[in-house]
Amino acid sequence: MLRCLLILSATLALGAEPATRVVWDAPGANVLGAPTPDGRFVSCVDPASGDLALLDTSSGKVRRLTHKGSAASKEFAYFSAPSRDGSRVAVAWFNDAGYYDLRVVSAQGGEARVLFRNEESGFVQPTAWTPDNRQILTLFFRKDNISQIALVHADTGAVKVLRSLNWVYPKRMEISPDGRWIAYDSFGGDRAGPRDIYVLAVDGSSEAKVVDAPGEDLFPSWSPDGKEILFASDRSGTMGAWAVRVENGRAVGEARLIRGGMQQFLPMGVTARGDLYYGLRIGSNEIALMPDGGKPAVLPTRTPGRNSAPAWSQDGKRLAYLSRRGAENFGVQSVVIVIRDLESGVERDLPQRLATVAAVRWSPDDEWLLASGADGKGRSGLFRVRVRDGAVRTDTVVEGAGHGGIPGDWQPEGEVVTGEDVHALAVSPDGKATARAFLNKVIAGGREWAVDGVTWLAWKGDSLLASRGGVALSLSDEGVRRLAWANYDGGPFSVHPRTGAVAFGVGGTRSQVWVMEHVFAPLDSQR
Amino acid sequence: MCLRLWILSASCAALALGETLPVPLGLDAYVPAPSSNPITREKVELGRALFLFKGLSRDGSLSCGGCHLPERAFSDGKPGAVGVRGQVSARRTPPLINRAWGRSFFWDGRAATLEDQVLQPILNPKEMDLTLPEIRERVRGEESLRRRMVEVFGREAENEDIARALATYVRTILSGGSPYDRFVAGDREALTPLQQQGLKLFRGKANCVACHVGPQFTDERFHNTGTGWREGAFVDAGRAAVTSDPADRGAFKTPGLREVARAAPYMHDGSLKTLEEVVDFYNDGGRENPERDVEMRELKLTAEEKRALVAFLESLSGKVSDGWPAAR
Repeated sequence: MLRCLLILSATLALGAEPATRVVWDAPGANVLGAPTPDGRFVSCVDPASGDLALLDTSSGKVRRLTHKGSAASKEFAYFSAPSRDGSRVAVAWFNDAGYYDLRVVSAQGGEARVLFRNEESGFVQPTAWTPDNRQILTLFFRKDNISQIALVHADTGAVKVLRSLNWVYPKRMEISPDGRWIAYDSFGGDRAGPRDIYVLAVDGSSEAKVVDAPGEDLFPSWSPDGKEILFASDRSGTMGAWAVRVENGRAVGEARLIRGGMQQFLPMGVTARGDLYYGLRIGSNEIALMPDGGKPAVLPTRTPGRNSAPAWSQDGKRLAYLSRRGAENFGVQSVVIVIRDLESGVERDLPQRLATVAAVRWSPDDEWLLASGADGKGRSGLFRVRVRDGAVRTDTVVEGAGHGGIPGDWQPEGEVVTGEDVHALAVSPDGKATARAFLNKVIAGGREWAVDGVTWLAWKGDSLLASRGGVALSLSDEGVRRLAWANYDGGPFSVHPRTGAVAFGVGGTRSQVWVMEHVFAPLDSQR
Repeated sequence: MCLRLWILSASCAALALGETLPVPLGLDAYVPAPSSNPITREKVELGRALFLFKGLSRDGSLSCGGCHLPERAFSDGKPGAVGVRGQVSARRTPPLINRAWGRSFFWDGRAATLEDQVLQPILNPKEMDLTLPEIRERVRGEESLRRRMVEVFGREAENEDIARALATYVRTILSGGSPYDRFVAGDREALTPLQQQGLKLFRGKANCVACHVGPQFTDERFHNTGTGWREGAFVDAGRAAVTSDPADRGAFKTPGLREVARAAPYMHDGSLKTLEEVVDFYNDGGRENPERDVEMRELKLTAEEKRALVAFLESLSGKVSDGWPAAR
């Protein structure tokens, strides 16, 4: 049951820094929305139902705005943004056809009106409304991996595309209070790297980079008077809230620190009186190694706290795993592949050449990794990543496969078996059997197990290990057995080719919503 | 002049706000331009006049527009560019569609900006064959151009300003509003079933998006497909002439594909006459050579799949515009 929280009096006043307090710290708390201008509500997803909801920032109660009906419905609300007058909420809605459309709902609740629905732009993210509440600043993410900054008319649904970017979509964008400018973050080009802040004219007449400094600069929000842009930055070594003065779409002077030490920090929006609502991600993800019949032990890594999806090499001497990079930890593009030499403990990152990676598996000769994911050119599926230098070769491209790519595994002779129509796949070490997970069963070598929702498979001797709903299972001739992997994160895991030890991810993260009050001191007091 | 006859897109899904350049469906409202050379209506008109000014060639026979013909996607339909005195270049005249979004220019990318690029054909002895002082004097010597240069830039014609005006005009040559753009915008009938099959192949089996990606269908990078390799040798160094990197031998910039059906012949040297020949070339994995791009491989397309790909490529033809329609 949803346990909404009362405001905690964990106010932290550190010197002259603005005070902060938590406003939502409950199971399922999410940071997918934004505050209303008066700060009374934050739009969000109701954790219990997946409906669009408003969080009352005083009482901590969540009130549903939509009622999607059947519990069996796979529809749900995702990103949302309240209008400037607080009367409506724009929401990305995962629809019955399996992609996201843009809807508008009254803040009092009721029927959602579909504004934009186009399979070619199958992901939408409303981020802000124009001051006159007539248009909604929306991010489109298209099938061809182009992201677009667009304005959608709140009544007619008419679309004006302002700026196309590649797969590197902005983490956040917002319209200035005078409606003339859009601030967004991006890292230019089609390869990952630190982001900077840009300001784009709403009429398309100009664009300028207003924050250009080493490290990450992202999640821009306008001050209520439109004279400053607040953003998250790790330039001081840890993530903090910074602001830069802007005039006529261009930066004036140097950025100033508002509050440091913000950890995994995601600004959600600024209210009319200058309170910043933001998300914090707490918790961690690590890699655990568990000897056959033994207990798991967390692997000490170079970048603790953000690691997952381990894979043993075929010779058992190395471990590949995925690790998030950058000071922020939201979104999918900051994942790199790490190669760890298990004897020396030395780790190295492969150059980040793919847009996303969901899992990796070593080739029989240990020279390549088979990575499921997507590249920067709109291609999703399977890619071969050379362990030596990170060079990428496209293996299998499947239109519409999504960022996670598709299941795949190596045959002993080096060929790749792909699973376009299955949820998980694993080739037995001798290559004689391929296990495939379908919607409600797993089939391998003439055997079948009635188990639904399997998302990862690996062979261990003659039996299979599977991941289902965050739980590890053993599938053998004795049937399906639940495994007690302490703190298992539910992601991809790997079985040591000789010893049978298992490497898997442990831990997890969750979100909180906080507010930082009166963020913007008068500009003339800034010296 | 043919440019005048190229009636353009007053009715296209244009979005004009004040003096902001109108753009057709499928293109961004934001048309990139250097802050030192913003797009203005007056500069575009001046740039167009310079583009059509034959006095910018040695013998007065050739303007920029003499090779960049609107009806051929601002290319010329010839396998090699033909300059003054009938001289033929080894590379073809590139189309000038949506170059505002370009990141480098010429087949080998030797110019970083349009401002860097536009005077080079005028200076090239095999093309228009003038010197820098001659360019300036020819413009100053044409009274209407001289006057307009002063009006726009506030001083007598300088080569720097001539380049700015030409670059600004080229920046406004836009194509959009194609059946593909309508399809992506949500009109599911805009592409025929065969074209939709071609789109699927384009994004999938045929692997075209390995290079032809984004709104302009180009990654703006350089790839060796084998067109520069003949009889065991590179006949054109391609990008390597700029970088001196042997790995760049025979690599040429990926051209955008908008209006591609109007832009024959194809490849940097115009060696393929039709889109069917182009699809066959890629289906065979290009031409094997020491630096062939890793993305090149045999595609094993069926005859129907090849037809579908060509049909899709034809759907990329839309409405071409240059500047503000109301100005003409």
